[in-house]
Amino acid sequence: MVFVISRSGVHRDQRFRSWRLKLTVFATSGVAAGAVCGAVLGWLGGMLLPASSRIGLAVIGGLGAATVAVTGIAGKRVRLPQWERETPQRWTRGGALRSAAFNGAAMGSGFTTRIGFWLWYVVPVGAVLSGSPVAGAALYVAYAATRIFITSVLFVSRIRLTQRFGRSFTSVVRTILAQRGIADRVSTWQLLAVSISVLISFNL
Amino acid sequence: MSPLGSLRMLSDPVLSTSHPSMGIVMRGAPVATILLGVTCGVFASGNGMSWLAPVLVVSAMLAALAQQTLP
Repeated sequence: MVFVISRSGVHRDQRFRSWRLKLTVFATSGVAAGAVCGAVLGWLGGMLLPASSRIGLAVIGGLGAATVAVTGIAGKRVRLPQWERETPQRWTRGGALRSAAFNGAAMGSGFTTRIGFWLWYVVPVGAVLSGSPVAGAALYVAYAATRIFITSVLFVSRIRLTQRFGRSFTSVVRTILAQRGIADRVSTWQLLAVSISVLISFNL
Repeated sequence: MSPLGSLRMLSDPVLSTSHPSMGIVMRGAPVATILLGVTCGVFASGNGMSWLAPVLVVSAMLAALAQQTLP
């Protein structure tokens, strides 16, 4: 995409407009993908699972999440079921807007690339167990919008970030990536909090 | 996708001189707070639950935040 945008012969004002357009497509696609995923999962949960089954599954899920969280806190990583891959590079060759749309959808849906954290499963499982398309969409949109928003803020503020830290943006990003350990610990403790909350809410 | 990957996808290196857009963070904070409240409300009303809704919604947001550290 970078090559498509930065090629010669593109006027300055068009380039300026294009990043806004790409960002808009990226954000819209991401949030829409999240809304669709959540609505479909919530609808499926409501259609296929009666309320009593959803409560039972929530309790089982809460116990499972607590087990995973406690194991993680104890220092043992439980292998995460996920599609271990990154965003396909071929998307960058399909045009700027198409690439932005596909990347946004991948980020908003979350499951087509590396997931990384058990806490992510709260989103689809919560959507299914809500049994409601509206509730499922609301939960999934909270995830998608946050992911898209953070990425968008990083993008539009990249110059200020560079000036603030006195390093290249790539270096700043590497610093963010180096916080994986903190993210792991926070997400694990949050998973424990969710599991305890679920179990308490169903009087266990 | 990592922040670096997203940046590469979105970036326009020719234009990378200045974007006085840091204000989006300041404007985004209250908007995010309102969205969080609305989302919790929608999720709670659609799911027949109250106090568990914010826990789940915050978890979803934290998961999104944590994923920024993925390579």
